[in-house]
Amino acid sequence: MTRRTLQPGIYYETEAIPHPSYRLVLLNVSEGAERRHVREALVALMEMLAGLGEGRLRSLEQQQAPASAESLAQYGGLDALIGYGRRLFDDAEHEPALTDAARPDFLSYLHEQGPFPALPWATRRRDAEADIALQLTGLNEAAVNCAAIEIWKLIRDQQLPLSVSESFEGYGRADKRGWLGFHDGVSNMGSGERLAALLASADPDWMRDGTYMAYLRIVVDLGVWEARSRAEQELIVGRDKLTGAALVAVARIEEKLVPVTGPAPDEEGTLAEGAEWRDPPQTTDVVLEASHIARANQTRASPAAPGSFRIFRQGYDFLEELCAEHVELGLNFVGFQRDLRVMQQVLHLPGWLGDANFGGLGDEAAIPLLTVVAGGFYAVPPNGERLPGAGLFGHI
Amino acid sequence: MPGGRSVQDEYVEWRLVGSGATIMRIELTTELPEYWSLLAAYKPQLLLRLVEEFAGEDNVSPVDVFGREDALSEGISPQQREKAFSNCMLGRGTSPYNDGRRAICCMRQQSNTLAAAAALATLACTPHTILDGVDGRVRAPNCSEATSFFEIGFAQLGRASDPLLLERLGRLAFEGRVVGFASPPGIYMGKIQPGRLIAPDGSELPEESFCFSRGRLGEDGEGRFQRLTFELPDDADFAMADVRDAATGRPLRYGGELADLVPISVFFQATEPDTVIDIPDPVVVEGAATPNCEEFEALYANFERAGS
Ligand code: HEM
Repeated sequence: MTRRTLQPGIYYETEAIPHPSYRLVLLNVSEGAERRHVREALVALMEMLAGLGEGRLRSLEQQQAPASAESLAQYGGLDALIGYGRRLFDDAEHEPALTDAARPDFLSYLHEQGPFPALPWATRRRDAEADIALQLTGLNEAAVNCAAIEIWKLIRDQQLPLSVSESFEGYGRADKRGWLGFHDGVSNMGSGERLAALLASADPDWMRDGTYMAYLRIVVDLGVWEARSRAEQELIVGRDKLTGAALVAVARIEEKLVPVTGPAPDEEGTLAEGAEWRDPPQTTDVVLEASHIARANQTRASPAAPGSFRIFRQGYDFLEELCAEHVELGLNFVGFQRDLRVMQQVLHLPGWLGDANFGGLGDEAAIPLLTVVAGGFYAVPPNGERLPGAGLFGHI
Repeated sequence: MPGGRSVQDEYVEWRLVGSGATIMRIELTTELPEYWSLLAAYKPQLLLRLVEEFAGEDNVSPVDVFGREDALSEGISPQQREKAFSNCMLGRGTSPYNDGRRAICCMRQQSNTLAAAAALATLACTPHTILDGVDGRVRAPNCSEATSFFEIGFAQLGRASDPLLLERLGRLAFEGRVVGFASPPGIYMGKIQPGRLIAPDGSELPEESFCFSRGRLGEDGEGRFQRLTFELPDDADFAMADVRDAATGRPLRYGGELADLVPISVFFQATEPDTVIDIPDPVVVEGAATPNCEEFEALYANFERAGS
């Protein structure tokens, strides 16, 4: 597969390194807006964002080099991706309806009473269900934050029939670890396999060769996590905390479960060592089978196999609040997949993450480690000339 | 599902009961045709009683189940009766008591047999070792590789069951374990994905909406049932048409949508590792095996034909 139909901002290609700064801007269409106007507004936004990536700012149109080079240094590499949420298809929210296009079956609202059986809502919630999602990824925090404000300004200045409903930020870490202290993103499929996991089918036809984005802003309770010993944490994750290596076995010593790790490859490590380090082992041990990495990926199947349920993960951590009494932090779980059914199956199926909050066997599976502050699913149509998914709003 | 039972090839079959587009009840079965064939041969009266129970009728005629008047007479041998039953109720048989019109009793799709499951398990449990041509690892085959050890079409990546069985059993075999069906061998259902089917107010459906039968709860707490009837209790203040799948926000339209929510289990038992020491030499595999597009295309064409 050589097609490059995916929008920028999904870093699936060989050697591609995800931009470290993340901001999700959610937009709702104003009441009574006409399709034609919505489409024109979105075209204007996407063109403005593309210009920013090339160092062109609306307010500094007259600027000459080297000032424009400074703008390029600030915004260069900015990637903007557009997705359409369940709300856009909701006729109860829009009079007149915004589209006649078919809604993909699994493009749905997250369930009000609890998004997934073992992953509940947080007590304090925010709303990530919107008509439109703009994912901004850039080389620094200023780039994505300023771009978000440029969106807000363009809407205001040109009175576009849109409003910003919410926005969420995140960042990547140079040490590639997350709040749990473990490496994250170690195993994310070989780059050659990723397109098979990503590319949507033509059902509905406007999504052919696009993809779907699942966004979950998940709060991690560090107190709960840190109450566990390193060995307990490793068994729950399925990896060694220091090296990130997948556990290969569990030793039972004096009734204690002791994680056994394969050797981490050094600089000259063989490919085989590298693969063993990265991939969860083909274990039959029940404890390892219940770990997060084994639950989240049950077969080493090609992502094209319908039962493999592979997700291309591109998460960004966040720190929301910090004071003496309270800290709120977690992960913007951003998963791209060819069908949102994949997410639903992974997070509902018993034995997968349907009966574990994060991972572990028996009582460990029920530890209240993760809660969802906000979440939304979005259809990400293939890259179009001016506006991906323009056809949703009728013929141009 | 368009195409009816002929495309229900994932070790579970179902029927919808209702009138017009209104669904009143969905019945799923994983009962093995082999078991029903034995009943037909040796316990025809019991079989008839079961058919009556599943159809909710009192006097089902043996003709409708065996295709002949004299099925229960002494002059008919068990083998003749079994054959008559198979012709009438299994495969392409036209009995209304197993094609969904009046009942569904046991599975009839050609792939949904104990023989097929046993053949798949036997081959999956035959140790294979992979020498990974890309990274040099010696390992058990993943399911994409394992399917290539089978004759084309025998095990299919496009099915939900085959890849999982192949890979998980292959790992046990790779560790040198002897694996066998746990007794009694069967294809079982025990639970339904929680949180998926919801009432109009968003709450979970009452538990009594799901009636598992034809089996028991295992000592390990896992259900080993072969029949599931999904029907709202009499006192429910909403109709089946109002039941939604939380993952799609849409009402149930097909039995396959319910089947998708029911994990299907086969139970095995295995010895300790290294019981078998004669593990064959590794097969060299270059790179990750990719799925066979022709396989998918052929299956899709088949599906379309069945649906038209
Ligand atoms: C705050 C929430 C979460 C945290 C902190 C977290 C953390 C981790 C860590 C540390 C790993 C091991 C490193 C790696 O293999 O990349 C991992 C792997 C993985 N996680 Fe999560 N995770 C979270 C939520 C989820 C959710 C909600 C899903 C699924 C919907 C998921 C799916 C996966 C998958 C598919 C893998 C790779 C398994 C493999 O193929 O080896 N994770 N996660």
